[in-house]
Amino acid sequence: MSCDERLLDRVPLFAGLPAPVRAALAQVATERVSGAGELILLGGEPCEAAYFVIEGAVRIFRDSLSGRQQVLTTAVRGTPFNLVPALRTGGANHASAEAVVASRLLQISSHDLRRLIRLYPDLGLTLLDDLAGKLDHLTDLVETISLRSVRGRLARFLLDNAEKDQVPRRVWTQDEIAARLGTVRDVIGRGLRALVDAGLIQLDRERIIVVDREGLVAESNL
Amino acid sequence: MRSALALPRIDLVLCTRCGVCVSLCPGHAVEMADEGPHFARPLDCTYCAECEATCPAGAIRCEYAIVWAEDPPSPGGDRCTTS
Ligand code: SF4
Ligand code: SF4
Repeated sequence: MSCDERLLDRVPLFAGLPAPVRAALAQVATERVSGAGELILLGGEPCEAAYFVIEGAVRIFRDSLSGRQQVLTTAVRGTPFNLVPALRTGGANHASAEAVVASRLLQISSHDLRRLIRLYPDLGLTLLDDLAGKLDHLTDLVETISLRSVRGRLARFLLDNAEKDQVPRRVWTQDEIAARLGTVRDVIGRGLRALVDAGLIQLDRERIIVVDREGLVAESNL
Repeated sequence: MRSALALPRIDLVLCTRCGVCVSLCPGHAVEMADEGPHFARPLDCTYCAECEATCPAGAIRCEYAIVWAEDPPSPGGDRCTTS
C-alpha cells in the first residue's frame, strides 16, 4: 500500500502540508481506478475509507424512499468524498458513490487516516479547517431554509431579478439560482416547474418569463 | 431578432473531452468532434440541462434570462453555442 507522493499535489487539502506528513500520507494511500458507472461505495455500509478524486468525476447520491436517486453532489478532481464518516470511529458511509466517467482516486483507510491525525496535528488541523468551512456553509443554509420555503424564496428571487430592456441581460443557470437560494439545482428545477404549473411563470427555453407578478408576490410571502 | 433556438453554451477551454454530455444527452443532440463536443442535431436539444448537471468539468451552461411577460424579445441576435 502506498502511492506516488506527487499524486497528493492534485488534492488542494494536502498541498500545503509539511513534507513528512505528505510522505506519511503517500505511504498509506492507495490509488484506485474506477470505470464509468462503477459503484465505489454504498451508503449505510460501515465506512472503511475516505477518497480523493485525482481524475474524473464521482457522483455522490442517496436513494430516497420512493426509489429515486437524489444526487447530492459530484466530486471532481481534487475533492474528497466520504471524509466525514472516515473521521469517526465506527462511522457509516453517508451516501453512495459512483464514477460518472473513468476516474482515478486516492483511497485512505479510516484507520490510517485517524492514526496519522494522532501523529501529525497539521493534518488534523487542515481537515478541521475544511470541516469548519463546510459547517459554516451548512449553518447558513439551515438558517436560510428555515426562514422560507424554497418555492417562496424562488418566487422572491424571480421578482427581484426580472429585468426589463436590459442589455446585456444577466443570465442565470439553475445551479447559480440554487447557490443563491441555498439549495441544489434539482430543487430549483422542481420549483420552476411548480411555478409553471401554477401559471405564475413560463419557461421559454432560455427565458424565465414572469407572467403573474401578483401571484408571485403572494407566493413569496407564503 | 432573438435566435430561433438557444442552445447550451459549451466552454471548450474548460471541456476535457470526456464525452459525458454525448453519452447522457437524452435527445442525442451532441456529438464529439476533434475540437470537442458540438450540437450535431440542435433541433433535438430540449434544453433539459442534463448535460449541464452532469458535465464533470462544469463546462456547459444552460442559461436563462429572467424577464417580465410584457418585455419585448431580447435584442442581440443569435446566441453562440460554444465559446
Ligand atoms: S461533459 Fe463537459 S467536459 Fe465532458 S465532453 Fe461534455 S462538455 Fe466536455
Ligand atoms: S440540454 Fe438536454 S437535450 Fe440539450 S444538449 Fe443538453 S442534455 Fe442534450
